[in-house]
Amino acid sequence: MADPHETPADAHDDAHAADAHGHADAHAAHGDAHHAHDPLDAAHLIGHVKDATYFEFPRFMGGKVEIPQIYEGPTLATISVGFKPIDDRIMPIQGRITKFMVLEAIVALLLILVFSWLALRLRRSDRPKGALTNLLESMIVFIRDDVARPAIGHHDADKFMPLLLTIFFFVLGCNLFGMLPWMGSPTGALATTGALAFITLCTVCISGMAKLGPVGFWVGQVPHMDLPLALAILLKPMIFVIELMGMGIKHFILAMRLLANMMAGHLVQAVIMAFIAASAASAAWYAVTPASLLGAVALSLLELFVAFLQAYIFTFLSALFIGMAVHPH
Amino acid sequence: MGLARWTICVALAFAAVGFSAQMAAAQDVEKALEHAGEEVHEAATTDPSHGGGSTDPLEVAPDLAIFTFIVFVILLVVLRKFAWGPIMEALERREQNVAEHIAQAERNHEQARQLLVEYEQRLAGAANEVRELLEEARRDAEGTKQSILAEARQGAEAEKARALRDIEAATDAALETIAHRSTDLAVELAGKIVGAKLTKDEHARLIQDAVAKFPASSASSN
Repeated sequence: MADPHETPADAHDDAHAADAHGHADAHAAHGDAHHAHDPLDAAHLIGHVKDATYFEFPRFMGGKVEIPQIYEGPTLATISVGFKPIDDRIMPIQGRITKFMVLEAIVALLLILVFSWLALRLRRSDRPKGALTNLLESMIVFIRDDVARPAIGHHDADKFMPLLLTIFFFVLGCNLFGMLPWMGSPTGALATTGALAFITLCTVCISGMAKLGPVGFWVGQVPHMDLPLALAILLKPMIFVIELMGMGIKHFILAMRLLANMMAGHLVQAVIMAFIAASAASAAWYAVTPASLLGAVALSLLELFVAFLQAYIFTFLSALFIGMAVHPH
Repeated sequence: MGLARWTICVALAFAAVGFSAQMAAAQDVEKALEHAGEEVHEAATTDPSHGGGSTDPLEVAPDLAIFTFIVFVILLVVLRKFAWGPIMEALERREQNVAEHIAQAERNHEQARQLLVEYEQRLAGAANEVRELLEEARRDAEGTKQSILAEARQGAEAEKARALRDIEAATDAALETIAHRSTDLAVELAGKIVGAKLTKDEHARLIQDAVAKFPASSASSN
């Protein structure tokens, strides 16, 4: 997937925005000579999946639509942790409004509208009526009975239900937006999944400290062992550090799992569609196009399933981590 | 049928994509392929306007992370207040209602079962009662019959006794009358027989006796 020749140095430059495209098939339809490059180029393909400061539509629908920016000045700040592999991957803070931000805001608004409507409906009548009501209710009850309560325990689960429901539906909404043409999955960016995992981590620490006391929670990270005093003094701090790292890694993997699933799906989709453009000049096009179309349809179905599955897994693991923090034994 | 439709769909899609791609992009892509080798390299290394920049999927945009965090927290607060709270409450309430209805239905069922048993018992009791009533009535009837018979028998006995007494009295009276008559006749006969041989004095005395007796005998015969 990674191109050995690329350097991320200029990756954040606004200028790259000038050339990225929507979907590979839409790209093939562009007649602009400026776009002439290999459709299977890794940087180009990833460019379709990544965040950007514009939306891309087919040409007859307006082509590339730049998102109006509030701030267009120079870079605001750069974050550095002093470790090059990480610093290389942290982009400078530029204060631009990006596609994923817009999509997240749309998802949030949709969720507020849909669930306020559901709440209103439930307040008016106690009877479940209508397909949408039943669909949403069954999801909510599923999260409560099959995710929160088994993972956190019946007594404490209800306290975390708002968080888990918000996580589930927000992630699901972000995942599903990737299924809409010319949109994208905000969960296909590590910044999004990382922020969500960070929220889980904060919840784990805060709820653990609230339940077991600030000291009790952190001490409780070291499993109980019957060690001679000397050995305990030596080992326990090491185990504590390992456990802390474990906690960090657990939540990092939480973010990575969602990112990888969403990004990989879209990337494979882009590659399959790019085959059409890549073979456009040869006779192979006649064989490649139907195969690619069928493959894209099948993959879309798979992605639809993965969108739900990953939202569920993210929520379930968050619940599990919270449960472990609240009930350490 | 299904296969035919499927084939038509695929053919149409094929044609549509083919047409647009052929018309608009073939030339473009051909040009692209000509320079593919150098361009790939260039795009990724030197020219940020080509290829969309970094291919690193682990890039983090702090702007997006901060934005996501803020949006999520706002979303959580708003939904908690306007959606999750009321929804969870309503769902709990409904569950309680359903549980209550089920419990109520079970109670009703149990009650009905008990009532059924009770009524069955009562029904069985009623049959017994009816049998007893009939038995009693029969017994009463028997008793009444016996008493009526006894009474009748007594009445008959009394009647008979009275009749016998009457007969006896009548017999006595008849016998007395017969005795009187026969005495008179005997006297008459005797008078007739002995009349001739009587002296005048005796005759006179007999007449006097007879005259003296007459009122008494006529009174008794009447």
